Amino acid sequence: MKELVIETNDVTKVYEGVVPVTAVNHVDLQIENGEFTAIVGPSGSGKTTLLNMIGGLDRPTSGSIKVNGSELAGMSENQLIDFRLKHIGFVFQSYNLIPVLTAKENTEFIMLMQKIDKKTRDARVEKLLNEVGLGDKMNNRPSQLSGGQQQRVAVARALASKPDFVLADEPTANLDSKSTENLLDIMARLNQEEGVTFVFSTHDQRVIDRARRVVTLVDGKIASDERR
Amino acid sequence: MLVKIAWRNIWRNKVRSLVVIIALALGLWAGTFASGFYEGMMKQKINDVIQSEMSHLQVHDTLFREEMLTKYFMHDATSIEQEIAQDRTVLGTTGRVVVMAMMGSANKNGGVKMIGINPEDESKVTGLNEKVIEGEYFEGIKRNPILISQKMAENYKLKLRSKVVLTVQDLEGEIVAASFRVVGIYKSGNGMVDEVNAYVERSDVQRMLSIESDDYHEIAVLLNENDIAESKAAEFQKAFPNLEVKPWLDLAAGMRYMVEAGQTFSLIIVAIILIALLFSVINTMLMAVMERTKEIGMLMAIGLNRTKVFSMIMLETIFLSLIGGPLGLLVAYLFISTTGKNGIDLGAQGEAYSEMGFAAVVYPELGIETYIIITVMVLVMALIAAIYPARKALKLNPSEAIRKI
Repeated sequence: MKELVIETNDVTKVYEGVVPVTAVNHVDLQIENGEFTAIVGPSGSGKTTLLNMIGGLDRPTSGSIKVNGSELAGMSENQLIDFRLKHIGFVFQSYNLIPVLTAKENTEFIMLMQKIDKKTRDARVEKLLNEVGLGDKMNNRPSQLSGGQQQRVAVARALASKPDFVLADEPTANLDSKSTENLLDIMARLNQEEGVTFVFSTHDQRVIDRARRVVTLVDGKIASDERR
Repeated sequence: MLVKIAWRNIWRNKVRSLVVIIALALGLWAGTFASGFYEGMMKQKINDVIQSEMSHLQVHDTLFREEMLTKYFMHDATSIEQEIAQDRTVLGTTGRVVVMAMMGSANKNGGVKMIGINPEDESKVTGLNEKVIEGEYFEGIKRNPILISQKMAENYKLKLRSKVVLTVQDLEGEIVAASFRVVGIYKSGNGMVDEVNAYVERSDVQRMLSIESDDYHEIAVLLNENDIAESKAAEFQKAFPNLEVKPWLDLAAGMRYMVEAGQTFSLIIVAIILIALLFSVINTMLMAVMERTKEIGMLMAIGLNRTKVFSMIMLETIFLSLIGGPLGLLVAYLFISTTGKNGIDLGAQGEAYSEMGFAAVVYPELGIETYIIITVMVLVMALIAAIYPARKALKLNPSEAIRKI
C-alpha cells in the first residue's frame, strides 16, 4: 500500500449563521501518494470547503485532517501558512497569479519565500515552464497571457516548491475546451511521469473523464468513491 | 521580491497613484514654501530690528525702559561706551538721549520719541544716514536740526527747513520747549519706527534736559555676529552690574516669541497639511487593498505569511509617500531658492506689512534643519498612513478572500 498524503477523519464543517449550514458532513477520505483524484458534485455540495480544509485554508468544525501525518488542527495561523508553503501547491479557479510579476517571477515566487538559492530557482523555473509549454513566455506578465496559459503558469507555480500534493479548485472552470485538454494533458503527465499527487474539485465532465479516482459529494457527504 | 511587488503594485493604477503623489507633492510644496516664506520674513525682520532699531544689545539704567523717565540716565556713559567699544566683537556703539516729547507744527501737535544722537556714531551703528530720502543728514542747519520721518512730514505737513517746537519735561519736572528745523526726512521701511522716532543732535537735547554731555539714556551696540548677542549681553551685564544690558531679543517686544514660535507655527502648518494628506494616502491604499482582496488572499494561501503581507502593504504606502514627499520638497527647495534670490514683492499688501514693521519684499529662505524636520515628518506620516491598510490586509481570511469576485 502506498503512503497516505491526506487523511480526513469524520470531518464536518458547519457555517454558523441565522440558519447553520453543514457544508461538509462527517467525511472520511484517504488519498495516497501519486493519486489523480477528482472531487465532484453539484454546486454547494461542499467540494471547495473540503479542499480548503485539506489545504489548511479553513478549519473543520469537528474531525481531524492529517497531511503527511501532520495534524492540521493544532497548528496556529502562521504555522499553517508555513505548512502550506512547504507541503501544498494550489491552483485556483481564476488563475490568481500576481499581476505585476512575469510568468517566471510568479513561478519563482514560492521558491523565494522558501529561500532557495538563485541557481536552483532559475533551473527549476525553466524546467517547470518548459513542462507546461510556456518556455517562450517566461517574461510575459499575466495580462499578456491567455486564460489557459495563465492557468498553466499557476500549475508551474504550484509545483515550484515540490509540494506533497497539488490542490486545484475547479482549475478548468474558466477555460475553453482546447485549453482544458491542454491543461489536463500536462497535469496527467506530471502525475504519471513525476508522481505528482493531484486533488481537484470539478464538475467539468472532461476533467472527470480523465480522473483515475472520482469522489462524489452530495450535500457534504461522500456519495460514491470510484477508482478506475 | 516583496520590494519589487510593492513597487510594481503602485503603478498598477497609474492615475490613482499619480493623483496621490501629486497631492502629496503639492501639499508639501505649499507647506514647505509657507515655512520658507515665514522664515525669510522673520530673518529680514530680525536683521531690520538689529540693523535699524535695536542693534545687538543696549545698555540702560535699570529703571529706564520701564519708566521712560528722563531722570533715569547713565552717569559717565562715555566711559562705559568706550569700555564696551574695546571688545573685539563690537563693530560700533552709539550713545543716545531718549525722551518722550510733544512735537508741534503749525498744523498739528503730537507725541514723538525724541532721540538725541551723535550723527556720526549713529550712522555707523544703524545706518540712519542711508535712510534719508530728502534733505541732508544733519548738515546745513547749525542750530537745532531735526531729522523726521516721511510719515511725520506728511502728518504734520512739514517740509525741509520747516520749524517745529518740541516740548519735554526736564530733570526737575519743568516743561521745557525748544524749536528745531527740519534738516532731513528719512524713511526706515518700518512703519512703527517712522511713526514715532524723531532724531536730534544729542547735545541739543542734553541742553534742554539740563543733563551733562556724558549722560546718556541708552547705549546701542552693534556686534560682528547675530548669534553672540545674548552671550555678549550677559558678559557686559557682569561687567556693569548696576546697569541693565539686554540683547535685542529681549528689547524688541514680542521678537523672542515670534522667533521661537515662528518655526513651530510653520511646522504646525506642515503637520496639518500632512495630516490631510495622510487620509488621502490611507484612502488610496485602502482602495488598493480592497481591490486586491482576492490576490492578497491568494498570496496568504500559497504561503506568504502575515508579516510579509503587512510589510508588502507598508512598503507600497511608504513608496507612494516617498515619491510625493521628496518631489514636493525638491519643488519647494527650487521655489524657495529662486524666490529667495529675486524676492517676492507683496505689492499693495506690502505697505500694510511695512506698517507692522515687516519688509514689503520678502526673500524666502529655509534652513537645512527645517528640511530635515519636514522629511522626518513625511516619513512618520508615511508609516502612520501605512499601518491601517496593512492591518486591514492582515485581517483577510485567505479562503474567503479567494472566493471574492
